[in-house]
Amino acid sequence: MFQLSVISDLIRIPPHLFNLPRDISIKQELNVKHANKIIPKLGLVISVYDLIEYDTGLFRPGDGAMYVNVKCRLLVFKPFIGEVISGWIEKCTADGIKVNIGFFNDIFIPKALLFESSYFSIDENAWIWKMDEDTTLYLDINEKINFRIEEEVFTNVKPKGPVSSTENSNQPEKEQTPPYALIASCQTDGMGCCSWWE
Amino acid sequence: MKIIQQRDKLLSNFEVYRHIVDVQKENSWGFTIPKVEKKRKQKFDPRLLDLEIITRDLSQYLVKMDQGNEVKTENFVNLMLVLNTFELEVIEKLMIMNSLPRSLVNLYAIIEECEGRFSQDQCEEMLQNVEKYFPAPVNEDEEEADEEEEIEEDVEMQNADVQVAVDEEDEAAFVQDDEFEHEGFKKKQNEDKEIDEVES
Repeated sequence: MFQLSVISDLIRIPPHLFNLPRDISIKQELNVKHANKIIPKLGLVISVYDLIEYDTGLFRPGDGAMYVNVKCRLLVFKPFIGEVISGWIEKCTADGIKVNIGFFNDIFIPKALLFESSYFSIDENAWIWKMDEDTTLYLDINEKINFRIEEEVFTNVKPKGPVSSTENSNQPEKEQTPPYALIASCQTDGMGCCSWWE
Repeated sequence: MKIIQQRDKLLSNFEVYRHIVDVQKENSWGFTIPKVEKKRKQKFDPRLLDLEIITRDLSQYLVKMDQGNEVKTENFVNLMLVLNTFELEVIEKLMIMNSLPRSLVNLYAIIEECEGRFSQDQCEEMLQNVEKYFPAPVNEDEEEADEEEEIEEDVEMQNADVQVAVDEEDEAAFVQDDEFEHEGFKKKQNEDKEIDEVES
């Protein structure tokens, strides 16, 4: 689920952090820049794990801050394909199930990757798996569920422009595609609600 | 920014939690560990808000996954040593350490072609070792629930003995408060709310 990635970066240390030990201020600036952000083609960065090396730093004319080249390891959330994770069902729609794992919620199980012979019930707002003639199992909201990661999707998300007053502000905002999404499946034994298999 | 190596090492949830605890200590945050007040009060740094949010959410998730404070390093190492005696792939070991399977179905889901590679006895042995080093906390909950029920029964018995007119509403509120301490009852809370709404 988690991994360490080595990156190199140029970090700007503002003058008010000069009193701190160098490695602490570098770590802090790296955390400010990367924590809880998604690096394209990599994953969701949790925090800096450790520093490998950093140079003495340079000043630029006209700027009191110091620029340091850093090589460090980041703690990154990036489940590998085929990994089994548990989370909680956030939303059920006719297209599939959206799963939340607390710190990351762009996990989607499309209906094609759900159990065979399962269907969506609009009245109950839940996915129902007809295991056999007599047994029906429910995938309700907030239920703890196991799923297998199948695919990861990175999209380039452009920054939002300023809200112009001339445009119709009443229009509901379109759901933005997340920069990092995971496609999961729920088809084999052991998947689905944790309580089914205990 | 340049990515030098995409995947340097894989980390288990346990190691991640250790790191998260360190981050909390450094910043004197107390999401899942007892908070230690620093002598000099640190100024709140709004620029570290992102780190704070991800630390809070991630630590709470890991605690829910039974990877929290009560996991001991020696247990972790011992289980790892046991797993090393089986011919498991690295990622399979990692997933066992992360999800701590309690039943054969869950183990089969993690290990590829488990039936062909391991005998039933070997699988049972793996599960027993998981249970040995990481006793399932679910049972504790049940025990607690049992104890609570017993206490409630005791209370009721006493009341019956002394024949004190009990304000039913108060007792109900007391019971509810007790239950809400468990996170697992969140759902129930919602249900109760719904019922209240319907009634009103």
